[in-house]
Amino acid sequence: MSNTEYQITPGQLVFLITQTQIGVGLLGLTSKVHNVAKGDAWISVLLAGMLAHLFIFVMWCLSRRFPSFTLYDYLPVLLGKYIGKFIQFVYTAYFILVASYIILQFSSTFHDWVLSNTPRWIIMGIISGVCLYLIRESLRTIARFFVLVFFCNIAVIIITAYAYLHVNFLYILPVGQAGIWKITEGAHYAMNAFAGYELLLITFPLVEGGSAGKLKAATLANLFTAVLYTFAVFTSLIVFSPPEMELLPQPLLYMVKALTFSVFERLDLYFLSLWAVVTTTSLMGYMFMASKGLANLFRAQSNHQNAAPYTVALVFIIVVFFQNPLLIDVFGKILSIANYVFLFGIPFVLFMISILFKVTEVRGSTE
Amino acid sequence: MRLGIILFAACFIAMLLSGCWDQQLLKDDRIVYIVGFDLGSDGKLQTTTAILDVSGSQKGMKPFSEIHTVSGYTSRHNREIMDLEVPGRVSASKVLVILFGEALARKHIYPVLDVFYRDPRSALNAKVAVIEGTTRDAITMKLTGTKLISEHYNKLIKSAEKATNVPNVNIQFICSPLLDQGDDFAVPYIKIAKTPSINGIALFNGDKMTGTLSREESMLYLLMADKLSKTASFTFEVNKEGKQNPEKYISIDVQSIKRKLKVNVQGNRKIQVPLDLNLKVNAIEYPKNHLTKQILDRLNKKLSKELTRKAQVVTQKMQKANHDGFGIGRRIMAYYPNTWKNLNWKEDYRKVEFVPKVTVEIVTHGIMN
Repeated sequence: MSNTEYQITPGQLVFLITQTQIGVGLLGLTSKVHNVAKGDAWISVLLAGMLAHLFIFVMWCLSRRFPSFTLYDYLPVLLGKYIGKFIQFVYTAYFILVASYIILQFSSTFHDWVLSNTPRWIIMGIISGVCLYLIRESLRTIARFFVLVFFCNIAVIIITAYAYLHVNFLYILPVGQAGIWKITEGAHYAMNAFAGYELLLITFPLVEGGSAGKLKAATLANLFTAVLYTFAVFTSLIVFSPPEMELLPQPLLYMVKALTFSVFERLDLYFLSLWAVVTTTSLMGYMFMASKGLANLFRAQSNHQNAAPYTVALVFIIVVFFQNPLLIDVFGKILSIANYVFLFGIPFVLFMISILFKVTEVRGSTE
Repeated sequence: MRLGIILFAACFIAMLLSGCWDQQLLKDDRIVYIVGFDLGSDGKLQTTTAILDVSGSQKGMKPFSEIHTVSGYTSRHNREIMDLEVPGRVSASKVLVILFGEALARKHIYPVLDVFYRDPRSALNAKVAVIEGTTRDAITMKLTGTKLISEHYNKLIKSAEKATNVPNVNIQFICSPLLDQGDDFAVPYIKIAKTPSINGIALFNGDKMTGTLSREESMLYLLMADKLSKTASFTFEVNKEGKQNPEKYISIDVQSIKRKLKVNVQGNRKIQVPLDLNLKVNAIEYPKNHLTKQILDRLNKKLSKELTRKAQVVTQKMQKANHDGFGIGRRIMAYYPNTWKNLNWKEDYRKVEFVPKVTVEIVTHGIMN
């Protein structure tokens, strides 16, 4: 089972989940949701946060039945060797694809905003390199780094708060203008940005303490993410008039770019530099999950560290050969649907199987 | 093996260190501080820019502006043409002021500004102003002082903003109302005679200039829009019977304002906008002296009446220019969404009934009565 040396505290789990959730997705979140939900985009984001919470609860119920197993460990127990291995493989592939998608979004944002002449593979290489550097360490080291980086979020909040000098609250009125259906549809587009809490499935046995504490930690993490997202989306909504919003793919950055102080100009550059770190942690979270899966595919219950270089290399190869912006768009759409399967569908089915056939860890381990 | 990795890493890092793709050295860039757009005689767009140039001598550096005028189809096209005649690469990342000639402003400004919104390197905090006449004259003008032309316009606009003479806008702030149907913006309107001077504001409807307000009117307009900056001072004639000219007048400095704006929709078409403006002012100059309680009361009444009348003139001018600077349309969208759907705002805005009411209260009068 898991070695106590590799365990992390529930407090660290909070940061681990938050940092994996918050990433490059936030920058484009507002415009994506605004396209459908208009001035009610912030409600959609809140709704998505609540939905994410439901998913977390299902994951927790499932993981609680196998307190010292990761998802990869109990998959074969629940589904049998072959199907279990297959689902394990699919999960690993999913994590690798999400990681690739993060890098693709990251590099295209940086390409558009700052480094327009730098070849993309350099940007991709640098972020992958940084990622590899940390992923080769133990989970505890990763968690400590995430705690450190968490403070970047605070700086980001402060920078965003400056936009309140020029806002117009009328832009979000009347509340509920889009209608319930559109708000729900908007929530679907926001779900993507919330992804990251599936880390709970993988790290559950690696956290100290009882399962109640772990649920609390995941709740807190998701709550923070939901509040930060809602704040960011709400701010962008009241800064830009609806017709202007439609023209901006990254309203948050655009808003920051217009801010000026007597000493600082082009705040978007500072913002992006901070955001690069935040995005990297999100990427690291996914790389960690993918490495763990890859390692488990070859040898059950093995460590993620050995698989890390292969995961990073795989992701790097995918992103270097996959740069067509139209394809990236399609890729994003596929992932946003796949989200439901991997974050809710499969865990829910597994949970049902585990209840119906009364499979828990004790019986499972005797097999 | 380990040494090999270190060596490889060292070589690789050294390769990266040799330079970045995206570096822009200041020494290669020619920085444009002010840019003016005019409608050329042939229908083309004419761009005039002042580029900072520093000529060095033993005594010290003396900066001066190098001025270029070109015409082309779009603002970017003009930049390309300009690049051909300017030694070094033209960079618009530090533009302080963007000027529009009135003829162009009355046609459209968004197509010209598009490149500023699109380019990640552009300065979104550049000030905007409309010139009565052409910007070419405004930029090529010889100033009496030693200030650079760009600095001159920048300071001119900024000080006018502080005195609530013109709204505090830059190209980013105007973008939201520019694209929004239910809101409009105004920018400083500059007259060039012997020297450039602020001559009120230019009112826009969408991205077209449709009217102007004088200095005094624009101040009142800004107060009615609840946008008091640091100070705002007016001078009025209050005494007909004064012996000499200065004794007829009072100067007031607005200290704080309270504005109440409501939008009442009656039926489906009739829109009434009561606008209550409460000004607490400081009497900064009153040569006739003796500001006792009775006189203050009389002055308060007189000033209130005078300003209310002026406020009516302002709203009339705004409606004539179809300029919805108080965002009435936005309010209707927010509070009466069903009414909004039936409105044709371009036509119906003129039918809105404004009921401005200004109340002035002199609260302080300096250190003498």
